[in-house]
This record gives sequence, structure tokens and C-alpha cells, in this order.
Amino acid sequence: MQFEKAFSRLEEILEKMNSGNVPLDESLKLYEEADKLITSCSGRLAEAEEKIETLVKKRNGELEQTPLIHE
Amino acid sequence: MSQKSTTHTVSELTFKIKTQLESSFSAVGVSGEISNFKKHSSGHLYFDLKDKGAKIPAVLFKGNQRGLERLPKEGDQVVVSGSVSVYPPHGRYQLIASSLSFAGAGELLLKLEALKKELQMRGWFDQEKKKPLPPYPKTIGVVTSPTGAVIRDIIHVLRRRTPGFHLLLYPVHVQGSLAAPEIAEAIAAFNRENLADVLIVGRGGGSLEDLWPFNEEIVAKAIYESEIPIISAVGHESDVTLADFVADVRAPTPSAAAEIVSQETAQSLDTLTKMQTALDRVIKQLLASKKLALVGRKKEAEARRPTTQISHFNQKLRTYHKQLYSAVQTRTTMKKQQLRQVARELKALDPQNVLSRGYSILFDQNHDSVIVSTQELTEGKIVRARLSDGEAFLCSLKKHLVD
Repeated sequence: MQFEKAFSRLEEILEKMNSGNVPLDESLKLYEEADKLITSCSGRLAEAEEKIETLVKKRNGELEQTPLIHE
Repeated sequence: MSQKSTTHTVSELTFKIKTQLESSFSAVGVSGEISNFKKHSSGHLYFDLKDKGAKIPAVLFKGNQRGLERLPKEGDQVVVSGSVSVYPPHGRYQLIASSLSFAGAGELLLKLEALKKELQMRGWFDQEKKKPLPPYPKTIGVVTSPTGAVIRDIIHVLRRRTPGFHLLLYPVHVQGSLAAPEIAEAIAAFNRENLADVLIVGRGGGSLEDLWPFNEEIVAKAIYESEIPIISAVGHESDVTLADFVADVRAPTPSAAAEIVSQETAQSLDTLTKMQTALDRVIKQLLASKKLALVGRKKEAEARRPTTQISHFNQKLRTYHKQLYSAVQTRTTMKKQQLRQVARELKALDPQNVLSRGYSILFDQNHDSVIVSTQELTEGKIVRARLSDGEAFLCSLKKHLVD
């Protein structure tokens, strides 16, 4: 699912559950769905591991990415 | 003054020159070009001020350098204010500068204004040409010096705000004549190879001359032509360059640029955390309320169980039984009392009682019938009288009617 879509679905679920007139069975299902959405969204935001690289021009003019040693 | 030559000692002459020169040139302004520039370890700056026809040694002592924009270099056109001073031991005069300002600044500003107008005419600053920044950039390209504070600040902010990021630095000079072509090429290279989702182009603060590469047309052009959205981050809040006008977003500082780039990610993560908390709270509340309802139902159900009902009836039965018993008893007691009353009344009617109060009953001697009228009494008739304690025969003597 698209990230933005997942977000609006989450908002929808929360609103539904907050309204208080959802049967327990459905609430539990909604909760499970929301939990999965949150995990996947957070995961997507955090999936990039920190990578700091610098572009170096090689002799043939091509660019090469090498880790940047910093600090 | 006499034409006759007077003989002076060297010191006398020098002293006279010193007095005359120093009093005549105690406050002068001199414009010229810097040459033989030297910074002494003491911090004093030594240089010659020259033009086409002449040269004068000058010094700017450390104590007078407060207003200095930057260190002068060979060929700089400058204006020096100060005084002329003679140094007798060397027989030299020099300019003691109290301040030094650069003559070129005005020209640069004029050039900048002209170029700014030109680019504006071309529509390079137009708001509708600004590209939106990607909310969640995967790779952030940075065009700046690899050694300055800028890249360090950017990495610091990104680390603080996002769990992970991919930063790609294209190292360039950010001042001097190499800077502008390098910056332009870096931006072009990122685009050519599609290496980043967003670019931060910038450097730290500095003088107008230091920032000059970001006012060069080739840099403005590279930014304008970039397909990748660009955030400019040049100098401090107050420094504005042409690059800032052309860029899609202008950040006041490099740190701010990093914050802009990571804004959505940081905000979304925050929102997700809040949603999780809210969700947990709602489901907990829901479960608690259902549990409460369940306990209520359980009580109700227990009340309706058959055994419970039987014992309930038993209880009722016992109560009825008790009530019945007590009703019967009450009734019996009442009847007994009534009986006793009747017995008492009966007893009051017993003739024996009348006899004991002094009355007597007369019976006919022959027939055992009670004599109730004087008519039945004749003279000499024997009657039987019953008294309280026994009977006796009486003889009627004379009938005398009292009434």
C-alpha cells in the first residue's frame, strides 16, 4: 500500500475506534490492521540505514561512491 | 632660511624630517594596490601600497584590525587611512594604517545587481518554476566543501531527526576561482546520473567575495536547469545570493536545510508514534468496558440458574409455611378465647349459682315439676324445696297473697 494511503487509512481506523460504536470483534480486527500499518509505515521511514558517501571522480571521468570518513 | 649650508648631525636632520613629516601627514587617506603582503607572527600586517609611479611601506598593527573584513592579498585595491611615521634607525618612512577597506566591494555589488536583474528578466526566480521537495527523499545529495562545518552540521541534524538516511556528498571548493565551475558541474553530475532525490547546495558564512561563487551565472544556471529539487543554504540568515533566488527552497543555514529535508520523515514518525499510543489506549478502554459488561452478564446469568431458582422457591416455600402456621395459630388462640368466654357466660346461667345467692326452687312432691305459681299451692300441700346446699320438704300452711 502507498505510504500516504496507509496514513489516511490509519486516521480512518482511529476515528472509527474512537467513535465507540464498533463491535468488539471489529475493533480487534481494526486494531490488528492499524498495528500492521504502523509497523510497515515506520519500517518504510526507517528502512534506509545511515549511509554517508562521497562522490569521487575517477581517472576515466566516471563518478564513484565511497564511504565518507568523517569526524 | 640661510642659503649657507649648515651642518647637522644625522640625528638632528632625521629628527627635523620626522617632526615636519609627521605633523604634516598625521591623518591621511591613501588608495593603492597591495604588494609584498606579509603577516608577521605577532599578528601585525606588513605590506607595500603602490600605484604606477610610487610605493610606500605600510603596517596595520594587530590592534587596528578589528574592522577588517578579511586579510588583504596581493593585487587588492584598498584604501588605507592612517599617518606617516619616520623610523630614524632605518632612515625610513612608512604609513601606519589605522584602518583598511577594500575598494572592490562596490564594484562587485554593482555587478551582482545587474546580473540579478538579468536573471529575473529571464524568469529564473519565478515562483511557479519552483519544484516541490520530495517528502521522503531516499538519497540526499550535498554540494559543498568536504571539510567545512556545513557537511558536519547537515549530518548532525539528519542523525538527530531521522532513523536512517543516505547522504551523497559531492566535494567542491566553495570559494575562490575554482568554486563556481565545480559547483555547477556537481549539480549537473547529480542530474546526469540521477543520483539523488534532493540537493543541498551551500557553504558557511563569509564576506561578499567569499560567497561570490554563489552569485556566478554558471551556478545560477546549473540550479535553474536542475531536474532535482534544490535547497540553497549559503552563509547566514542575512547573506542572500543569486543561488538562493534560483533555488526551489532557500534555507537560512545549512542546518535548516537538513531540517527541511527531514521534516516530513520526522513528523510522520512522530505522528505514527502518537497513533500507536492512541490506538493502544482505545483498545484497552474498549476491552475494559467489555470486561465490565461481561461481569454484569455473569451475575445475571447466575441469578437465572435452575438450582438457584429452586433454592429461591424453597426459601419462598419456607416463608409461606411459616406464615401459614402463624396464621393457624392465631386463629386457634382466638377460638380458644371465644370458647372460654362462652363457658364463662354459661356458668353465669347455672341455677346453682342463683341458689347460692339465696334463691330456692320448689318442686311438686309427686311430679318433680317446678312450681312457678301460687295457684299450684293449696293448704296442707307438701312441696320439695331445693336450696344451695340440699333439699327439704315443706308443708304449705296458709295461702296468703302478698301482691
